[in-house]
Amino acid sequence: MTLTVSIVDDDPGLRDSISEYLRAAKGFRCLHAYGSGKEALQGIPTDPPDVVLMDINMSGLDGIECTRQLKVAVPAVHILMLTVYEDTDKIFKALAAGASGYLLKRAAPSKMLEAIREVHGGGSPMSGPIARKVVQFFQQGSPRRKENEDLSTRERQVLHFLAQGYAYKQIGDELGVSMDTTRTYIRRIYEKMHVHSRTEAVVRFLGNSGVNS
Amino acid sequence: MPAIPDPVESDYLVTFWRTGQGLPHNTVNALLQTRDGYLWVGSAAGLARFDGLVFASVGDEFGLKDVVITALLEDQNGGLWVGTQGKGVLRILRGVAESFTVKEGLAGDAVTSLAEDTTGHVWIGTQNGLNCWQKGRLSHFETSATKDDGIVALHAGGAGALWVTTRSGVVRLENGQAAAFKSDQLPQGRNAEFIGAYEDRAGNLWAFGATFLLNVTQGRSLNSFPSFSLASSRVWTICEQGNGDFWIGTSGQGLFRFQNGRFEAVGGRDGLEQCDIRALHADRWGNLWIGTGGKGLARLRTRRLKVIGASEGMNSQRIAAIADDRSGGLWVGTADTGLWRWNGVRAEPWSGGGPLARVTQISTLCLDEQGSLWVGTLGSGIIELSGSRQRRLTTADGLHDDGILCLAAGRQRGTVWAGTQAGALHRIRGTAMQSWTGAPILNAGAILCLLPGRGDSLFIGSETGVVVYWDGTNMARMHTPEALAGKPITCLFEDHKGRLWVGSGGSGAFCRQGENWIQVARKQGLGSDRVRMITQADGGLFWFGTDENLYKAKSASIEAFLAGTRETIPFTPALAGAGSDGFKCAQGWPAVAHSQKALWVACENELLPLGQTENPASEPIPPVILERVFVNGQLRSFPETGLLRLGPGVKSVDFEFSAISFTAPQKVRFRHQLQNFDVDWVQSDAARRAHYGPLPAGQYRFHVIAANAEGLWNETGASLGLVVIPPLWRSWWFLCLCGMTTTAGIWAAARFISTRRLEARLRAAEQRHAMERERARIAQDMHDEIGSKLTRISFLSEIARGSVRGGVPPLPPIEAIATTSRELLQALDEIVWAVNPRNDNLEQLAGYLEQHAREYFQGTSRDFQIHVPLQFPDVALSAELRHNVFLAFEEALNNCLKHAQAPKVSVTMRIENQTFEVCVRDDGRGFDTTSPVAAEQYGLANMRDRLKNAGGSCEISSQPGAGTSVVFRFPLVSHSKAHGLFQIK
Repeated sequence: MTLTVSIVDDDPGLRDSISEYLRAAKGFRCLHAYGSGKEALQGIPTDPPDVVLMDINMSGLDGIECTRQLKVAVPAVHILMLTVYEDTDKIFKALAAGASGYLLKRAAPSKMLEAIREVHGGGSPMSGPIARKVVQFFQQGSPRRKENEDLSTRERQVLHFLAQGYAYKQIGDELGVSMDTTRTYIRRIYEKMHVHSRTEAVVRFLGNSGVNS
Repeated sequence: MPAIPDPVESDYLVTFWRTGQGLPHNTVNALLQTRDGYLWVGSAAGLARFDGLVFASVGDEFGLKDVVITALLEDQNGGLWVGTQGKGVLRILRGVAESFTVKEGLAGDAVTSLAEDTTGHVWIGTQNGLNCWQKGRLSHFETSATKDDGIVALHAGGAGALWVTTRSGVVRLENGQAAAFKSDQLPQGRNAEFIGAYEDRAGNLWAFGATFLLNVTQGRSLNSFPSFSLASSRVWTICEQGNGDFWIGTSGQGLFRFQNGRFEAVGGRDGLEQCDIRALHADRWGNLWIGTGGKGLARLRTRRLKVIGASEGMNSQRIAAIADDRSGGLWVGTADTGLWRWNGVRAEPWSGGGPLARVTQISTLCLDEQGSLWVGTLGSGIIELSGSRQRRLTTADGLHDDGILCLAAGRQRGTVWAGTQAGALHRIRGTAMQSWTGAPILNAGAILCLLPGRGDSLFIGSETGVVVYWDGTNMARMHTPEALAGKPITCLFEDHKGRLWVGSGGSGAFCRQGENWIQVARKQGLGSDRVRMITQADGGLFWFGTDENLYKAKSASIEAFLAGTRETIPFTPALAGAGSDGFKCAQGWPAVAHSQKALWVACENELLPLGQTENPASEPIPPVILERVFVNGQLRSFPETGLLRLGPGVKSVDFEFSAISFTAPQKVRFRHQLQNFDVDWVQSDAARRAHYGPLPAGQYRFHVIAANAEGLWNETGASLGLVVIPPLWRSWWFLCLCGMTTTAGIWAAARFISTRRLEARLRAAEQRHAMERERARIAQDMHDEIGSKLTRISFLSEIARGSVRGGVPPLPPIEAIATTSRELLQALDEIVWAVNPRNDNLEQLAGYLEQHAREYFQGTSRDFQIHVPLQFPDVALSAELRHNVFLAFEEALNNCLKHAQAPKVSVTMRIENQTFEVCVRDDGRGFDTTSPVAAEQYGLANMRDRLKNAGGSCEISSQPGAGTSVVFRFPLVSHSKAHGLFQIK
């Protein structure tokens, strides 16, 4: 199956080389390459790809805000953040805004293809430092949070193991579940996090997700 | 305009409590609200006291645990009578219980009913006969009329009569005289099976039983229950509410309301259908409490407010906007099912086809002067509807983005303004569109609201607290109060006097008067700081929509407040029991529209004409009760004098309190104060408990007050006096002298130290900030310039590799370019990480080490494990320290890979005794730590130096063949003073 990919990056050189690389790669098709968040917001909803590669650090509308708005317009699209540096704060914000994962630009290009396949398959990887941010996020608590928006016991266990540096396999062993089940828990944690982090502007129209300023 | 629908009832709200919510048993036989406000619940497994939130089990110590409770009564002196099946009756007064059983002269231990007549006699009906209690004395009451039968029910009539029901008939008791009540209508003989008699407020006597309900006084037999004959339902209990509602509980057929000679089955849809109703009780706040057999406790409230919702065809959960349709109805824009039209009777979805038929997510509506309706959507741009013609505007027509959040008709003819989710502003005039997509608005986040002013001017409110003013030629940020910074501007409004109002999510509303901004928030009397709507009705009444309720205030009080002659504004909540009684304003975002005749508000899934809320049935002010007091952890009973005397050595005092609210108990707020100890009121937390540590000798008074969901306070509250007696040697003058000297000394010392320290700190902070900015800039530049170019090289070389494939191996130089560019990127990453001031803390360091180690061992055959603390204290670390620790760590990892030949490597980070510790352990071949050659090879001196520079230590233990462990430690506190490398934030 051929996966369609669109790129959002304000660096023209990089944008071109990534799309060229994707064109040459088997099983991938590059739909569009957008030079700004604004262009992406206009174009992607009319021709959504399977996966969007989004630069986290664009001038103007940055990748995080663009992700947030794209997920409102096209909830089904998977967004993979591209970042030059492992900036935990920014990556966390992007994931909270609805991104499915992230990739360091310095990773070998073949890794990028793997990562695209992984997020498309529903995987949402979570590293230790990110997991610690997520723990803090859920500890802050909101009085208006509904019960079902809080983490379940299992989800909380998985999160705590991740935050303490356990690998997926180790967590599976500790909890007596498969790696796939562990991944499912992680995906659900992300989903619950998205519910909480919609901005008030979105809450205003998309329902009572219980998030206030 | 069509008449507003009849606001009277037709709708009930039923809420159930079952064992899952703390009810002791799902069968409830007796219910009673006592004068202090508690609801007492007599269940088939004991007695419970309910304050709206918690069912507190009562009477376990008196042997009531798991006992079937059959009857409850509060006598004139405040004694609570509890009738049981098999254990007689108890009278509880001020925590002391007196028990009456057959031993004490009770006719039987199975109590069926309790009543108090107008002269203060308490009557106890048992299955074996009748007793009377008066001033502590119990007597057996026996007449020929009641002799043979057990008592089924007792009812005290208003005129002093006591109605005694036995299996075979009704007996009237008055002034000690009993007479069998004779009436032709009453069925005769035992088969009739009487269940009770009831004298209503109008003086009618009702008799009821297994097969009948009679209005004996009017001589009418009533058996016209709808859909089934009365004969099939046992009438079990009757209850009247303060407003005259007359309720009948049946066994197996649920609840009925009797009105104007007709019966209405009630609550069927809500779970009361075919219920076995055992008890009915009307509390003094308009709730009807229902005890059922096996289905728990239910509360029924009559909906007083008629809102327009699902029953009128509105099939939406998210009304986002409304607008007058100029023909007596309203346009309703929803965020889930598109556009609707409410014609005054029913709501119909849009059926006119065109682009509007495909739109589901509407965010805003606006009517322009020519009568065109403008529809703003999330994702589909703007649609203009004039007559039956539709025109759609999207990004293809020049819109910045299709997420429209607000529309407003400008004062200049034919102008419509639009604000978008991405923070762009558009002015549409005919076919021309002008756009503002740069500063100052674009950077301020989504545009949430617009308010056209005089001429072509416009006020713009953004998600991040910015208000922008466009005067027709220039656009500039308005100077707004600091409290608005970062808070979403939720609404803008110009009142009848031309003043600008700004509503915010979090800081209430602000009114601009001249050059000043005046705040109207919780402190000024508004029920919430999250304002979502402000408007003013034609009569001058102000309306504030918040997440808590819709509040109104007279314009005279607002004027007086703005003029400075009042400190607060008396706001009245417009909706009774917000969130529970009809209109739901708590979660949504109220939309407002002025039509020709009414002011409308819509929220979530309902529409409400505001004219109806003039006399809302308000939420009662909650009674406050001090439930328990603990001194040094020991429960103390309340003294009758209201003053608790305590000896010296009070280590702790704990107060537990409650307030009774049946409709919105979670929203009750408390404040408490220990007078003579707390300077001011203290906000109590949700635990409903106040804790005090050691109390010096003195006189105190604990006072607790509570406010209901609408913010109305019970200022009287509850209170208890405390006297702590001083030990003899502590004479007051001695203590005074000591205290004064010590205080003065501490004050002087603290002042001296803090002034000096503050000055030094300020200077240091300034320098540090300048440095941090510079570092952040360098990091950013390296990231943008070098990082992206290198990444490009990496991709290009990869493409080049691919293009020459096809059997021929890639040229070695291209292979090398790919590898080198990735190595360069890695090196750059480390440098930028060290430089960037955002990483100057322990958590970032640990995260970086973790990621680095993981990446390092990825793709190697090593079994790698890492353990990191779940949480890190907020400790700032200098870049130098981070860099040193990182390099040492890298060296340790290198050793594992290069020299140790270890199959297993583990990294453990720990924080203990203010020290951060990183341990790198392998199970490889190890080495002799005393050998200088090995030490050189392993770079031990290097690692030690790096840690020493960081003010820490490096410890290495290894033996040939037994693996190696390297431990880095550096202190998190003491270190900061010595080297100034980091501070605890």
